[in-house]
Amino acid sequence: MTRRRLTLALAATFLLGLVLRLLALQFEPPHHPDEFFQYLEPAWRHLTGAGVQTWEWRAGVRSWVLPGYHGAWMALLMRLGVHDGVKLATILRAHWALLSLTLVWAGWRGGALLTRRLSAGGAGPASAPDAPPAGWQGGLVAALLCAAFPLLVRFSIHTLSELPSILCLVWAVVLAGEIVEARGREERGKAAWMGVLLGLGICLRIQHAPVALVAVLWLLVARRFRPFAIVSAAALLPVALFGAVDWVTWGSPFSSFIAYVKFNLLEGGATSFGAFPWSWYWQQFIHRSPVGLFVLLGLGVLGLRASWPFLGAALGLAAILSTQAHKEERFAMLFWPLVLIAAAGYAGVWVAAHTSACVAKKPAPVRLRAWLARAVLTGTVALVLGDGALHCRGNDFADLTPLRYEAQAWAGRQPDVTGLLYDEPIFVGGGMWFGRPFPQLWFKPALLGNPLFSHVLVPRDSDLMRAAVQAGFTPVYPPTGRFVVLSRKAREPASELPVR
Amino acid sequence: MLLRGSHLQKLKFWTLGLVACAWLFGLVTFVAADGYFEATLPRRRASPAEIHNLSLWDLGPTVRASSYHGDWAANHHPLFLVDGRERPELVEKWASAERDHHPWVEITWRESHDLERVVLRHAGSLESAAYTARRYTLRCLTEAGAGPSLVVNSNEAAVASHDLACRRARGIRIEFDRDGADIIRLFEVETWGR
Repeated sequence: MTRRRLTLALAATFLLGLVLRLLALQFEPPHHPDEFFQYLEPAWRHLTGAGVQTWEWRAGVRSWVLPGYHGAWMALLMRLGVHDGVKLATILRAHWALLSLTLVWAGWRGGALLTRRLSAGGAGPASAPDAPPAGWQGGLVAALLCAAFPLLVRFSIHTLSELPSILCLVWAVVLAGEIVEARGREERGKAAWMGVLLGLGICLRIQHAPVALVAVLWLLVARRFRPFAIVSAAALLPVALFGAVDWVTWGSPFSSFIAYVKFNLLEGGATSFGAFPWSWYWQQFIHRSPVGLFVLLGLGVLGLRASWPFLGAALGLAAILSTQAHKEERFAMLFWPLVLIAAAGYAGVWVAAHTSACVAKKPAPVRLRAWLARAVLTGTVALVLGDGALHCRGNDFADLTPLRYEAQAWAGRQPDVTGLLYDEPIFVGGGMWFGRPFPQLWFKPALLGNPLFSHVLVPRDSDLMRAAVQAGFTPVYPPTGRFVVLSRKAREPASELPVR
Repeated sequence: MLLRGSHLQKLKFWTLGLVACAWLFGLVTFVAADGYFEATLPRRRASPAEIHNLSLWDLGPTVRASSYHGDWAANHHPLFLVDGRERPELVEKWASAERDHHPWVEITWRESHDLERVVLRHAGSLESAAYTARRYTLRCLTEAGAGPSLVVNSNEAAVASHDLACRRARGIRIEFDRDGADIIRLFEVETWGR
């Protein structure tokens, strides 16, 4: 492998990651109501005055940092003439899909790092000018897995706090490993970045803290006390930012953080949203990758000497999350990139041990062994990705169908709409998805008499649909399918379209 | 690591700089947003010549509000103030947001009218009398700016009728004084005139 060919291979990997994420943008259904109601809707409501405000936002258990980040993009796009809520949400999803490609780069660096560390002396700086960097085998495998692992691809477009936290913390762990190897100015710069990413990752998702602790522990075990001090100091910057934002928005520093911890951890409030046995995450991991998971964990364990921070962080996260009664798959999504990188590190050193750059000049049995090693590696990667693809469908909410979202958005685009009644207030996209400042309410037959409710969105052929038809509504969209939008019959035409 | 080069570095620097500047501009715009509610209903009929409720939904009023209680199940939308429902469900009322300490609503019409009186159907008309707003100010909005106003200090009526004569009025504004008390709940605002 030459440096040029490696560059092309990496570019192809990024391109693959990009294409898969664009496909996810097109076909991936909503993952969780929170991606609309917690991180987009507050910003939309702040900008337009209309929208749903969930109890979390009334009780002040959420930070304004992530909705503020989204809100800044929304405000900019609105200045540029994009006012449609669905378009704004799609652009923000595409933006996260693009940002999630940084995980591919983190995978490349993390995999290469682990392969270098595992190859113990055989992975020094490359001598030939065109030689690829040491550890490239593990880097390429990790990049490919991070680019194409189906669950990560699916998750990359969702506007949830987990995704930015995952990106920050995977990078922080990778940087920790590079700091262990680095010296001097490079070390200080990386430590500062690692600190900022660590702080940001924890502030965005406190449940991810075990991963941050393992990253810091890596520095301490390697006796890198100076970078540790820089990391600790730099981590305070995002913490201070979150504290200041809470002070401005909720009236006291760290107010949302305190309220969140109090509700979820001390008062056990999260259990009201469902409680699961401690083994639930493991069942979920096995369900998602029944064969691949064991391959990944096996490879990670074989390279434990170097991969322990990645594997330890992944297992530590799963263990800590398992102690919490309320469990959701997204909480543990950070498990996957850490395990993928850990496995890739050993896969890289294994394939490096069985191949070499000048293999063409070697005897046939050696060449055969090299080709077999490559075939085994390719098969393993294909197995992990294929297994993941076969089991990546579905999520925690079976009723979270995109059909209802499409119907809601369609109703919002009708010129005569002045209000919408729907059968389900949580599995829709809120005021932003509706895109109009008119009331939306949970269906009750008595509300059909309110003239503001011009449209009704209910399951086709349901009692709710029959009640709406009886009240003078008629089905208008779509002609077939699980859900139907009904419109009030024969109303006087509006003299003009409603504005704003 | 592999793609390092001075041109690429420069391009990266300028691209990131531009994106950051654009985002910061968006952030300033976002922070500066006033966040009040505004919606204009489509007009479905012309105003009659006789005395009528000028704010009724089908006359196409514009409703503005400082905030509203917008829960999933209890979406107390400001447009319920003008829906003309005689026997509404409890959800069909406007309620201000909990953190809104100076709630107000404003209803403006398509044309100028001569306003005679304002009728407020408070929460007490259907719910507990304790929910009825006690202190508020009614302001007539005219083309020239603020018109006559009426300060109500101790309202007890669940359906309060206030005489407020105002010529060439464009709408009304109601400013509530929570005075540390509960949120404001109001079922209907009727503005009678011709």
